[in-house]
Amino acid sequence: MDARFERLQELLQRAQRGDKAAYGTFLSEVCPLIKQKIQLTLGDLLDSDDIAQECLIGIHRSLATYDPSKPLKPWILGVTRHKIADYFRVLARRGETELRETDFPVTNQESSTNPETEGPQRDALRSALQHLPQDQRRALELTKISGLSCREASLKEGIKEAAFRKRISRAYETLRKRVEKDLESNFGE
Amino acid sequence: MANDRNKLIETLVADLKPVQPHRPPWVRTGIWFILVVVSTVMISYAVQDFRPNFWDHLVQFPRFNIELISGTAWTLTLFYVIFASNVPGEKVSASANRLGTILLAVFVGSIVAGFVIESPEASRTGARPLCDLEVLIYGSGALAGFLFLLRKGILGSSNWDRWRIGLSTGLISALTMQLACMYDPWHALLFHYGPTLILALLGGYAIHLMKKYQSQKARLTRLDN
Repeated sequence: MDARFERLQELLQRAQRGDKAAYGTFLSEVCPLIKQKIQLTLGDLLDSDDIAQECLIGIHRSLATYDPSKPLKPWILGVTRHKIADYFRVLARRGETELRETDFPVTNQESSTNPETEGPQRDALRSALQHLPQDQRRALELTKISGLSCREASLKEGIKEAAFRKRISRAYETLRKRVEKDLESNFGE
Repeated sequence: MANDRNKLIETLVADLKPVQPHRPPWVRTGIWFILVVVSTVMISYAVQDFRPNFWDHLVQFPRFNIELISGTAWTLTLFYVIFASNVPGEKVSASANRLGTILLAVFVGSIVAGFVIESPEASRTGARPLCDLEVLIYGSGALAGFLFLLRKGILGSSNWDRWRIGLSTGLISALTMQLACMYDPWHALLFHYGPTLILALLGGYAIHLMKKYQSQKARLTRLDN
């Protein structure tokens, strides 16, 4: 097993016994790993900081469910998968009802300032979108990459705004299912 | 953003209490299964004796035997999935999923077969006047136990889990009633297995309300903080 995960496993076991210092170190070390994983899987499509923090809350709530005799990586991935799925569900629901442009940061204004991660993130976003059906992919490209509002994009596509939002909602649902399958690879490497 | 994260970590660390790691899902499944079965059988026996010829029926009619065994085994797999789905990263293997599907098919098939192939003769021997209500009451007791475990964070609560919880609690009391009450395939379908579906709906809705209440409470707590 990866030495880093061995160390994290030990920290988590101490945290289960109530060691606050070990718990603080564990959360501080695991958060960037989760964030990196989300960025590598989905690029800037989601707010990785926000989800990573949700994962920390998830870890806190599920602390008792970790079995010290089992590897740590699948457990953390399980928490991350749930949180990403929840996030997609919220996005999909909003896509149908109350999509606001401010909820979706436009990705051509890079949120990341680290040039080393910008390239892989953008690639990851494009790669994630590539697997969508054409109409769904175009819906996300117009809103997330070209930065159009839903209204503008629906006019451009020649469909009703409600139908366009439904399309975005379906795109997120498709992505959620795909991410649940893909999340296992390259974690913490 | 880093400040937010550090603040969150500080809050979580301050909130840390020692926890006893949960037992593996199969252990929790076994304990829960035994508790539910024993309590349901004991209470239903205390209310009224089981029908006098139930043992003869079990011995003489393999179809009836298969119905009870496959139904019980399927319920056991439902319990396992409910407990396992609470553990992040714990996956129910493909073979376990297949086994569950096969058990369900055998169970439903044997109920249907009860109308056409050799089965215990339909009679009113051992009839219980309010067997449908008994199924609902015993099932509701087990459902209340599940809700308690859910509140403690020991169970999964996905949409599928909600139906599984309601269905499995009802099935245990329905299968007990197959031994305790009169034998008649139509009576079994309407008054023993029928209420199980009501419990599935009831369980699903009760858990939906509970999760809604919990998430509202959590949101208010976050706003307060």
